[in-house]
Amino acid sequence: MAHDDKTWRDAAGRPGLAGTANGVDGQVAFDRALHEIADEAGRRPGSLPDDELATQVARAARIVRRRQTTARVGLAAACVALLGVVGGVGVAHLPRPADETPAAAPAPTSEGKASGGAQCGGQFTLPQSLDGVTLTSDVLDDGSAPSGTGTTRHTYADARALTVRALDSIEVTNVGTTTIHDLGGGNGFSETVLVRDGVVVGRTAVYPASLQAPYSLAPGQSQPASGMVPSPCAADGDEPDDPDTADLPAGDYELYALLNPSENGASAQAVGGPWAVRIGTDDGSEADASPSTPDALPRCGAAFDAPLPTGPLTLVSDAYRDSDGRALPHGTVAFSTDLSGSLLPLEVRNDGAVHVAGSMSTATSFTIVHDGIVVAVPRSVSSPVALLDLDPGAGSSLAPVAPEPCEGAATLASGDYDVYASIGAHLDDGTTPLATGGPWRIRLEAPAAR
Amino acid sequence: MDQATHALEELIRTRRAVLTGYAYLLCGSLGEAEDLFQDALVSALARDRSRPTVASIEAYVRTTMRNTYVDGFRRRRRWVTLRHLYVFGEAQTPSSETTTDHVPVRVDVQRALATLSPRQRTCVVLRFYDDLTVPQIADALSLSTGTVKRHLSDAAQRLAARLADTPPLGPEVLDDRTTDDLPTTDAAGHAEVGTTLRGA
Repeated sequence: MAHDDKTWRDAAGRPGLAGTANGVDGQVAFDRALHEIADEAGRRPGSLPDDELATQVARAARIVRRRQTTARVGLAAACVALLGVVGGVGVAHLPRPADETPAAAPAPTSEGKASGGAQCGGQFTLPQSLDGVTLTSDVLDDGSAPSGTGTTRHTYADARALTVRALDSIEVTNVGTTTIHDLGGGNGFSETVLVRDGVVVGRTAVYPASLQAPYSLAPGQSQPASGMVPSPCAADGDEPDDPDTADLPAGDYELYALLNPSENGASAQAVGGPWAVRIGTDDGSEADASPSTPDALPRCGAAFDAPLPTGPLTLVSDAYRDSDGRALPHGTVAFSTDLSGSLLPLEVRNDGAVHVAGSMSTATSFTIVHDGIVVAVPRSVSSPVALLDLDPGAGSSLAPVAPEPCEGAATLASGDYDVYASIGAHLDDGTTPLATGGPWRIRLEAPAAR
Repeated sequence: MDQATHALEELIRTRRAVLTGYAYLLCGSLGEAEDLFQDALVSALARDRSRPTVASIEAYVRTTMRNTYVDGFRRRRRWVTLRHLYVFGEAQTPSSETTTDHVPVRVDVQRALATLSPRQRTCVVLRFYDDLTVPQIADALSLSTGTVKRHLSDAAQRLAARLADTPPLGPEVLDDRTTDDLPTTDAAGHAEVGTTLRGA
């Protein structure tokens, strides 16, 4: 294999990796460092033993193959237009049997028989429901028959608010009389499908890769089967192509949750829904459809997407230090519910290996979150600017600016909250890293109680 | 046991550490590396192949991990940002996010790698870990050789800034700075304009 000159050189032409900031002298081959890093990581034990990983991977691969087959069948079925539409909608609203003949295990059905259609842009048809198994949500269910459905419309600001507030509550329950085996294999989460006027307009596009062993449910037992966040189908009716750049359009939807069993070849699934949901603000106005990126400003009532630091600077809080002065990530410190005074004394710290020079605002952007939902947003203030001059490991104090409670409220309710902070910096190397910190747990107390 | 299952078990038994290490080199996180590896294994086994071998699965897994990391980075990041919202069962507990690597140079290299874009980082791994030439990298990533050279050049600049003998930005930069170019508003009065946040 051909070798070029692989020696790194800095801007002055010196060989790289020599005399790094933490005191190591002498030239070190970059590729050797890479091999050592990979070797070190490879020696770390995985989360599953080898045999268990092999079993889980084989099982997940079977599920993937079955989905691919089902998708092909579903696509073909979609071509049978009228019959498919009428039949599908009819099936979708038929009450599912709550308890039929006990099933020793989810019974595989013949391929294509009642195979559900959940393809973007196509008519939605419910898959065959596993006997004796149902998906329910204590948030979305409203006592309608059958269980696991709801006609009362619930409103959420965006897809992630829907996920945090509602989909996380979905459970799979054995409502039959015998134990059901091999449930939840793959990742344990249910797929969600959003339907409007009978057409699939959104569905889960991102799945956690972590594998979970299938489990058994005894009669009456339940297990969490949180629904995965749905993404909008592409404009041309194609599958969601980039969940990062699109949020669900405001409007009313029917929501379904589907949980695949692990049995190879089984086409029946645990089914929840339809549940009536509205995406948009509570007053009916259209939700902000701007991209939900980690560095986007948090929105009141939306699920909070914690930004990650994009450079060497991090924010730490003096409020949480042990007796030796070491920074602690969590703790509970009481503040006033009107957020008066300094919410959290902060320090910007250079966690990088080299000196940092530049400038940054001292107006810290605080966001207060309760149960994953934004309840106070950064206050809009003019930005005082200070120069940065930090050696590796060094920090400097910042003055915090209290955030603004949502909906014009003067105070927040007493209770425990999580606080996140972020500040943008402009460094002399031309980069603009984001410094972030949190979550810090705080307790807000009414002034009289303090 | 069919041949695919046998090959899978053999691959996991003999090559898991190497491939997880390779994934870690790409993404810089043990949890993500494990996800990348598992994703690629599932993808490899789900393919319509009747008689896969250990070598063919490994080749496919390596390619899939690279492509997933480069093309699916943003998508995966979205899941990472949502991950904390969910409660994981025992079997799903992610590994710790970083190694316990305390060797200074390796720590420096890992920090420097973290400053690269996914495409730059992948090019660097292919060049310096897989020992591929520029044309071979271009072929592996379906890029032009010019694009690969640009990625490697940009990566080299970023790495040099982190790993070179003398940091390119020192206190002397501030000596030449005037505060005239900086915003002058201080409505909150928390800091004077031009205040230097100087760490010891």
